[in-house]
Amino acid sequence: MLDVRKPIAVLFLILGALLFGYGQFFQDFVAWKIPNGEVPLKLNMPCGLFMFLFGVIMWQLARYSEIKDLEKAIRKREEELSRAGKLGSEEAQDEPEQEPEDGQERAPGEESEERTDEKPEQDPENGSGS
Amino acid sequence: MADAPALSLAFIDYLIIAIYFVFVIGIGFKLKKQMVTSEDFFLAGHKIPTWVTGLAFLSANLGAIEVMGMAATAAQYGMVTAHFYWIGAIPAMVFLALFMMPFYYGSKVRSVPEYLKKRFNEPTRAFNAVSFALMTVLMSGINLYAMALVFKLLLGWDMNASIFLAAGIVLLYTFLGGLSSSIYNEVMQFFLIIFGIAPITILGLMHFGGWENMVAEFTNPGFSHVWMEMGSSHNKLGVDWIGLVSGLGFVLSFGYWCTDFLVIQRALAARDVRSAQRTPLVAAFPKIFFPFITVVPGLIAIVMIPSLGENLSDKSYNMALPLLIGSMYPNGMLGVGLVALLASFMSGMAGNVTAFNTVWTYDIYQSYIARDRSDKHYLWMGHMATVTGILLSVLSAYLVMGFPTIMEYMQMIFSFFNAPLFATFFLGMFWARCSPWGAFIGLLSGTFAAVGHYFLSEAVKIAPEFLPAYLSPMATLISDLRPHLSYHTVMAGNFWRATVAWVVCFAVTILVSLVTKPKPREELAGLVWGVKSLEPAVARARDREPLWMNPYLVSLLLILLTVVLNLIFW
Repeated sequence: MLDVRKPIAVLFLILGALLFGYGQFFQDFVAWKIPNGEVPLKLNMPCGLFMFLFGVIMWQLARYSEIKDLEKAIRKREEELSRAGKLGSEEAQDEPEQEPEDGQERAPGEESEERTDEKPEQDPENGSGS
Repeated sequence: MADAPALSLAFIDYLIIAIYFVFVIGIGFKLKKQMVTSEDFFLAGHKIPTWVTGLAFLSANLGAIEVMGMAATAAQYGMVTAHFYWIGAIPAMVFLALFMMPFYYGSKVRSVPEYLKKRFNEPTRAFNAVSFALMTVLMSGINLYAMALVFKLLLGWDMNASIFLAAGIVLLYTFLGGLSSSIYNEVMQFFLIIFGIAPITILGLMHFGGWENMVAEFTNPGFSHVWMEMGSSHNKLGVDWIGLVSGLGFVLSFGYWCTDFLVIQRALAARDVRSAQRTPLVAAFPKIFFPFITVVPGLIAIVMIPSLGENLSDKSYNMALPLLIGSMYPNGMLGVGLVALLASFMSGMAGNVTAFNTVWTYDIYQSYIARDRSDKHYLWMGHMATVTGILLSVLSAYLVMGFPTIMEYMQMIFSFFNAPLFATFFLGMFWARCSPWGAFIGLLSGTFAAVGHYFLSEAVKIAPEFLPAYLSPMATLISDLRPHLSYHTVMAGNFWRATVAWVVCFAVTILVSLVTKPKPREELAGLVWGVKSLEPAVARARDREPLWMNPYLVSLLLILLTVVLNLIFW
C-alpha cells in the first residue's frame, strides 16, 4: 500500500518552494494594517517556508518508518533463520546418516529462506501498510 | 450578481492548481493496480493505518459544508456556530468510538445498511440503503454547487464548466483507486485546507490586534459567545438551549456521526477493531480546534466586509471565506487558498460518491438485483456506480441553489434521514428486545414525521388568505399549528424537526417492538450490547496498546478539552 506521506511531502516541497521563490523574486512587500499602523508583509514567503518545512517533516517521517520497517523485516528474517538453524541441527542430530535425495548438502535454514522470500510485511500502523 | 470577476489569477496560481490536480489524479493511478477485488475497491482491503483513517474520517466531513458553510454560518449567527463542533460533533464521535464502533467492526459488516439487515431485517436495510443513497447524491451536489458558485463569482468561470471539470477529476481518482484513493486524497486535502485557510485567521487577528479587539467591533456582544444568548430563542440562531442540545447536540450530531456510512466507511477501512475505535478519536482532536479556521474567519468577515449578507449572490454569507481569500491573499497564496477550497469541495464529493457506490453495490444491487455473481462483476458494478453517482451529484447541484446558506440545506437533509435513523440504531444496539418490525415501522414513521413537520412548517408561513386550494381542508390545522411551527430561522426549524423525527421513531419503535416478535438472542451475538461480549477481540488488541492509546483515556481528554473551550468562549 502507498505511504501517503511521500506524495504529501513532495507536493508540499514543490508548493513551498514555488511560493517562497515567487515571494522572494516576483513580489513586493504589501502594507498590512494593524492597530498601531502597518507591517510590511510578503505573505508568500512565510507561508511557502512553512509548507516547505512541512514537506521535509513528512518526507522524514516516511523515511523513518521505511527504515523501521526494514529493521523489523531484517529482525524477523534473522529470527526465522536462527529458528530454522536450530531445527536443522536438531534434525541433523536425530538423523545424522540421512543424505538429501539429490545427493547435495542442504544448508540449515535453506528451506525457511525459500518460504520467506515473499515481500517483508510492513507495519501498517506507521503509514506504509502491508 | 457580480458584473466582473472579483479576482484575477496569475500564472503562479494556475500552476499551483495544476500541480494539485496532477497529484490528486496521480494517487488514483498509483492505487489502480491494487484494486483487484471488490473489497479492495470498496473497503480499501482493511489495510489503512489509523492516523490515515482518522484524518480521512475528518476530511470526508470537511467538504464545502465545513469550510465554506461554517464560515457562512458564523458570519450569519456568530460564535454559536462553534456548537456544531463542541456540542454537535465531539460527544457523538466519542460515543461512536467507545460504544458503537465495536459493533460495526466486530460484526464484520461492509456497510451500515448491512448492519441493519443483520440486526433487524431486509426491509429495514432496504429502506436505509435507498434513503442513504439518495442523501449522498444530494449532499454531493452541495459541494459541486458551492464550488461552481465560488469560481463564477470570484473568477468569472462558467458554472457548468466548473461543475464538469471538478466532477471529472473526482470521477477519475475514485474510479481508479476506489475508497483507498478517496481516503489518501482526503488526507492530502486535509493538510492543504489547513495551510490554505489558517493564514486568514492569523492575518485577521493581526489586523484587529487580537481576539478582544475584534469582538469589540461587534454591535451585539453575544455574537462572540457560545452560550450567552441561549437562555431564550430570541437570538440570531432562533433557538434556545433546549432546542440546541436536543436537536443539534443529541439527535443531529449523533445521527450523523454514529450512523452515516460516509464517515463510518473510513473507520471500517482500519486494520482491527481497536484501530477502528481510535479512528473517530484521532479525528476528534483536530475537529475540536477547527472553529479557529472555519468559525473565526466568518467572524472576521462580518467586520472586514460590512456589506456581507446584503444579497444572495456575490455578497451572500456563503461568500464569506472566498471573499476573505480574495481580499487577503496575494497571487501565489491565492492559488493555495483556491486549492484549499477545491480540496474541500472534492473531498466532500468523493466521500459521498465512495459511500454511494458501496451502498448501491452491496446493499441494493447485490442484495436485490443480481445475487451470487462473481466478485469481478461487483467490482465492475462499483465502477459503474461511481460514474452514476457523479452524474447524479451533478444533477443535484442545481437543487441547492434556493437555500440562503449551505448549512441550512445540509441540516435539513440530515433531519429527514439521519435523525430517525439514530433512534433505530440506539435502540437496536442497546435493547435486545427491539424487534425487526419495530425498527422498520419506527424508522418509516420517523422519516414521515420529519417530512410532515417540514411540510407543515412551510405551510404555516403562508397567510390564510393565500392558502392554495389543495390546502384549504387543512386550514384549521395549519392555523392552530402556526404559533408552534413558526421558527425564527431555518436552522431552528431543522433542529426541532430532527427532535420530532427522533422522538417519533423512538416511541413507535418501542411500541411496535413490544407487540411484535424480537430476534432470537443467539442471532444477536456481537450485534447488541450485552448479548455477547466482544471482549476477546478487544482484549487482545488492548493488551498490545500503550496506555496513552486507550480509547477511554483519550475520550476523557477530548471531553475535558471540549468543556474548557465552552467555558473560555461562554
